[in-house]
Amino acid sequence: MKVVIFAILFLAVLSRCDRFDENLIIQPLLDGKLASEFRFITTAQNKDHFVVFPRTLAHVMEKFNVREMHLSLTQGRWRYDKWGEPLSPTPVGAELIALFHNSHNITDQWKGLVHALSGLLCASLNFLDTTTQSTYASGVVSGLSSDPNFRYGTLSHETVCTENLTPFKKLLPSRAKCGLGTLLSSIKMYDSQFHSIGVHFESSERGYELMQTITVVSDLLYGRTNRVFTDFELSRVFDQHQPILKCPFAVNTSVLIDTSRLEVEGVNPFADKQIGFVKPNNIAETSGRHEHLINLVPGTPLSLKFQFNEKVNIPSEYPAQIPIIATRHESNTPITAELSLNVENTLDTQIVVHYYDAIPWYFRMYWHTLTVVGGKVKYINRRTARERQRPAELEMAVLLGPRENFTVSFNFDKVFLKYTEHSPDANRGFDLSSSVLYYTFNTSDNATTIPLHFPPHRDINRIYTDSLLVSLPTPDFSMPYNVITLSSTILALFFGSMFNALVRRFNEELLPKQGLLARIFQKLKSKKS
Amino acid sequence: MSKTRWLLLGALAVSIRVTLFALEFDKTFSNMVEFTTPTTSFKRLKEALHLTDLGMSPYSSSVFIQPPLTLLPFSLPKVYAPSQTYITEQLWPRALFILLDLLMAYLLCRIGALTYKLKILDRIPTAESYYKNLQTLLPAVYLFNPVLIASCVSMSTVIFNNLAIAIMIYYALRNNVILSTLGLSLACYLTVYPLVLLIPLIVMFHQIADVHAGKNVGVNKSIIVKVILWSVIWQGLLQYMSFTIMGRSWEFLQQAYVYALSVADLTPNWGNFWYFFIEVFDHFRQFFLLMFNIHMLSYIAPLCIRFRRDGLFISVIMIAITSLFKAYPTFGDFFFYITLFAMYIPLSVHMRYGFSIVVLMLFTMLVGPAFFIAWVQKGTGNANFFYFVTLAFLMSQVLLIVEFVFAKLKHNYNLKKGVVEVTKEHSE
Repeated sequence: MKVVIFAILFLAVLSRCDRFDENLIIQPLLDGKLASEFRFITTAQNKDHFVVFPRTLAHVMEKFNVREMHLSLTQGRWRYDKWGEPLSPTPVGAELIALFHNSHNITDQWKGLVHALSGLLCASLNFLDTTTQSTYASGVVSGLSSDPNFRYGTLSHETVCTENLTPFKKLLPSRAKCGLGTLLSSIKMYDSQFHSIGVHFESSERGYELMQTITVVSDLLYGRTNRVFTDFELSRVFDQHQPILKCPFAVNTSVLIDTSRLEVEGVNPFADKQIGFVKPNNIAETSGRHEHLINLVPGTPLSLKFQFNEKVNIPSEYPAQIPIIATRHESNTPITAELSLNVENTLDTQIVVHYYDAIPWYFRMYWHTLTVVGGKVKYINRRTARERQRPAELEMAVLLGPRENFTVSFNFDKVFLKYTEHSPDANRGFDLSSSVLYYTFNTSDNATTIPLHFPPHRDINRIYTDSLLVSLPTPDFSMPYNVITLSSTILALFFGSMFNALVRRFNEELLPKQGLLARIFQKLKSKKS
Repeated sequence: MSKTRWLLLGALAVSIRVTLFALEFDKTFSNMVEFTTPTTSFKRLKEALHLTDLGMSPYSSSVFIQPPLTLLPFSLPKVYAPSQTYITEQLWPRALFILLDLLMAYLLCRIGALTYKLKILDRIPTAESYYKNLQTLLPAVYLFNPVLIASCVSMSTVIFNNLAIAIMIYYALRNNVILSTLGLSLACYLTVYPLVLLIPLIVMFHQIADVHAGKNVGVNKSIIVKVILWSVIWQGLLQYMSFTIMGRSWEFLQQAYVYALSVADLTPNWGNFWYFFIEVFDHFRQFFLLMFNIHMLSYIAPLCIRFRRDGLFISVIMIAITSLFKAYPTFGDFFFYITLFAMYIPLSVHMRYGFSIVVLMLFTMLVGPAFFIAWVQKGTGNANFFYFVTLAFLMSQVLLIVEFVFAKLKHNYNLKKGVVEVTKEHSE
């Protein structure tokens, strides 16, 4: 077996076209949880010949002319207030961002792409091609001043589970059988507070680049009553008892331990209390102030153990972890409801907050009710909704002073839908997907367009609000036949009685009333005579 | 009607409406499905005005589904005061709706006076004083009907439609083809349904010609040609005006007419369409849309044959039929034709179910809003509750129309036979 693996590795190195790297970032969080992000990066320099690059994905991307694609499938909420800025910002559910090479038939290409991806990752992304779900043919999100080759869609109702993880693993050159991939145990993955799968693809002159990410926030204190930081081992967190060896396919396998999140506003509550980890022997290591990088070398297993030298209590309050706090509410009133978003600047400096929201057509938005309180509005872009075609889109930038907040609110009507347009679980309600926010410290006027998705990580300070569940009035789903019958009866009744009246002759009313027998008798009598 | 009486009526009517506006009842009424439908909602009109202010087409969103000229009266003050003020935003629209109601009352008063002068209503000798008082009765019934007051306060644009029809009737009685067809064209411009009034209008002009000549003048081709020609001219002019103010684009046709006729908006109302088209199977949708819209045409010919010389009665019945069976009817529609029916109240001697109809109508009107709240707001009932109430209401209206037709037929028969009729009070 080993011979085969080394043969493949040899081939990979020989061909020099594909490269695979894997790394893991581990960040202990202030509330005793552990955030870890796996990044598997596969690159192909030759677009026709692949060694480790997933051919299935490359074919799909080539067929639909995709230049850049970012897909995320997320379960659970990222707690901005406790955990700070996310490692990779994602909304709840599925999100797909795509940039195409040319603008011919973008709608068809998008349709093909979502169907292919839904097959590839076993997700219901195919719902993104219907207009009842939020699909926006807009350049608003991209910030690329309305790039016609750009498409964006979210499905906040999407549930993410092992059925998505398995096909995800198949895209890895290691098939998750070696290296860091062995830590991807689905039982532990889905027993976590937050879980997100990301597939990021880019096609350029340099070739193809694919980055697969998995972000997991594990609850180390689950089921415990004492709120103290406790020692833990990495292999236990992911339920992996085999030794973690360097993946033979990977050029680099590294683990980065980052304790910067335990430090808040320059003051480390653990400064005097020594947090450390037991370093495995024979492993190359570089250190920063908060960062410790471990590069795995072949043949030496990785075993990481975190030790807290003294019992440190988990703080019960969390100072602001993030420059802006955004909350969104729906008034939950029948028929006409109000949606309001509140954004607060927690810093002592001026910032510009960009806000994007897409309201599906089944929430009929009224633009004349749009009000912005607080802040200084730099610009507002509006795109109106078309029933059964496209959602309403709102984008704005607001300049916020130190510790200032602003509120955006507008009214919308809950549209009455045909009974076939309701989902099978109609009384659950309809999802209003997360609004997108990002902030910059550049307050000059010409800095209005900042791409939301280039590059996918860290450089953009993007934030998503929670998605909302809005209940729509439902008809009775068992009624079609009854309604057809009864409503038609009204028409028939009117038609019938109207024509009965109009063709009536009143002559017979003057005749004395006679019974049926008497009339027959009379008739016979008259015939005889 | 004397001037003091007019002033008294008008002042009272205005003060009721102003009080209701001041107490902000417009917020309540404008959200009630009884008074506003997608095609008459003032909120949607405001949205269209807002989009126009932003430099966008009012039809860029699918919210506004009325023809473009309805925006004109509301954007008029902006010509003089470009900045948004309390007067242009709040006061002017409210004042306009009150003024339109007064104009309507005036037209009804004139219609009442003219019908008496021309003696074109039914000849029931004992009801002579009733016909004489019609000029006071009609506007009073209109101005002080609580439902119509609420309809006015809800700022429902159904008033435009009703006003256009009233103009049509009034000028037809004055034998003025040009202005009468303007009324008809305006009504057709707002919703397509009043198109069925074209033939009744021609019959009405024949009726007026008969009255003036004092005998049956027969089919007058010049009247037919004139009415049709002027209707086409006015309609063309209105459409061309809309085309021009929409920046030379016909995109409004789709949303102002096709959208409403295809019942794409399924907001509940008191008509027969909404629940049907929520529930109907998709492959039957087109068929039923055709049937529901086209069956109204089937009543014109039989009505014209049976009431050959009574154009006014045919018109009133056709107004009732279109109001009842249009896709988005409001109480403003229903009570407009009920107001017109007041001209034929003396016929009620021949009615069989008058009492039951009134009771059924009042009962459903009281229960309906409660059931709607139970369904949509409280979640304690489902859509069927409200649907069945509207069905019962429609039933009462169906019976009401048929009763009037039946009574009229009986009356005509008695006239032919020379039977002298007496009203109920006299017979007792």
